[in-house]
Amino acid sequence: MTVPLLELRDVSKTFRRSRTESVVALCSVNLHVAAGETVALVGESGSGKSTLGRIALGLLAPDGGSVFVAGRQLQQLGAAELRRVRAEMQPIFQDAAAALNPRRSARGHLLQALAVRGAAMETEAIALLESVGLRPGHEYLNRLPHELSGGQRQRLTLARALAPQPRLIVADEPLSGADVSIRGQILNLLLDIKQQRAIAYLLITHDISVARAFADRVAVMMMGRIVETGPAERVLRQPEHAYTRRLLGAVPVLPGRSAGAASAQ
Amino acid sequence: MNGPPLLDIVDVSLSYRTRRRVVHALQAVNLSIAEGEAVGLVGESGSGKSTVARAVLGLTPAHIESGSIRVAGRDVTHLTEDGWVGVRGQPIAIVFQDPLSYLNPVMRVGRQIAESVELHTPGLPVDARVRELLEQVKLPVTCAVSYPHELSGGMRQRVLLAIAIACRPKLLIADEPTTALDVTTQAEILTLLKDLRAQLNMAMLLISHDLGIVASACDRIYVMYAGRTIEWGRTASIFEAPAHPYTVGLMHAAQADRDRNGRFVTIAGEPPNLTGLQAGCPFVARCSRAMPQCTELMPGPVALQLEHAVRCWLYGAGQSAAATGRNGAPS
Repeated sequence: MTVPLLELRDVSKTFRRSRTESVVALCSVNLHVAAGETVALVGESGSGKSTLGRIALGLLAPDGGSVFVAGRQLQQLGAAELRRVRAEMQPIFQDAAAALNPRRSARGHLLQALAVRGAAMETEAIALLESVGLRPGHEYLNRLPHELSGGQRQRLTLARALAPQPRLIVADEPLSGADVSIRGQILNLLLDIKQQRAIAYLLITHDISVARAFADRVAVMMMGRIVETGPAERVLRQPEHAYTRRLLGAVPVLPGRSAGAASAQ
Repeated sequence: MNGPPLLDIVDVSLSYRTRRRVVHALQAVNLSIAEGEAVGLVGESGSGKSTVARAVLGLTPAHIESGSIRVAGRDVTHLTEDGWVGVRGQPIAIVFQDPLSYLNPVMRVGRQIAESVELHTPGLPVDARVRELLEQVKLPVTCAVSYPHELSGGMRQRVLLAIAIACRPKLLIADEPTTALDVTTQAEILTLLKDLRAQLNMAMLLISHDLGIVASACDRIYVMYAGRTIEWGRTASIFEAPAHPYTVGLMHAAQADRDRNGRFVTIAGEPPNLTGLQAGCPFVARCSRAMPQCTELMPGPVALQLEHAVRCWLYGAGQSAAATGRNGAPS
């Protein structure tokens, strides 16, 4: 068996709110993402999805358990090595406007993330912008975040995430801020990037239709635990856990369509 | 149907002025609600859904430029601030997406509900009525002494609902009431809305960007795009035979449908900004079935079948294309 790209073993995390009160955000969570695979993490707010994402990225240290990236345990790496490993895992977030510096141009954002400098940087930045659908790229280089639409801002954060050539993107609710008519465009873009670059996704979402349409595997979280995990088809069609059934049952379905009719063959 | 509709919006246009630009938020919007009916208003952000809700209660900073709004037959288009008192709360109450910002953070919620009771049903024993309202929205009576921050998002929305129904409204406007909530809580609030409507024989205008929510809760649906109502009809009719290319696209997108090549079905481009008046259909730049006349004039409503109408050249010019032209070029 090959080593998974990302593996969480028995990861636990508790946040202390006050001297007497604490919140168990994660409780012995096991999860792995293989190279090129898309895993959707679904659950309601407060279930621990984002905490898991942050721990996977090495932005937050777990209280117990361990995180492995391509077989290397994050907690045992030195600062320089950790930086290299982190470059392989890039985040994108729900609120693209908040994830961008309002006073920095598209060029400035990409410059930070690119290893090359000088003329090569310019070419690479333009190529990146065009690869996320901001064409022609040179027209977007000097734009500030407020000069972009919401969809374009999300594309820019994606371009920045792609700059260090990561193998895994942790996308935390990347579509929640987007209007329905824009959502498909971003999904197609994520799909293209996945195919062209063989990138793996850990997709954190509360939107079951997105998980169903996009993910290879689905993990369902409830109160800090993964209660069910398996192939997206199986979990979302024939859920085994009572909570998964409850979650799926709560999603309003359009008339004339069954819950499984999402993909038109 | 006896008597005038509870709410009747006819050809309403409204624009917001900022220092440098004019935003045409509503253009020739039509919408009517009968007593006891549940009507959905769907559209994306910026399509004008919330402006409709606010215009009905006189809560917009701008005046209505043309068209009229009637509430139970009474013209409220140009009411003064004092005049609105007879509309707000009773017969029309409203709840919003974000209950926390509509509740007073330093006042116990029981008192906030009591304020509404005292204002709208003077003479009733207040405490008993507050308890009754809390029971109606299925909150424990002990919640009365809680502050908003001590309650969950779903509970806060129930408090807002209690305040709204304290007025015994004939029409409840619910503006994205579940958008900030988790799906399981959302399902509970939708069930509560359904129960309250049945108990109180109350009509509802449910505003949402989510087609699924509106489909599950409403008898009829209006679809808005760029400040216009572009299609409306009975829920079943809209979902079985959506007519406007935008409505069709929205339904595919809402379900994350994929085409034969495995691509997600999407609507190309982005919604237009509403500064400056454009002649023609606002969807034309994104429409795969656009025709030359689409850029010139917005067609009037065409009746497709009983109670299902669309404004799109694919189905003809409609009865009031000329009138629409007039509304499209005010001042």
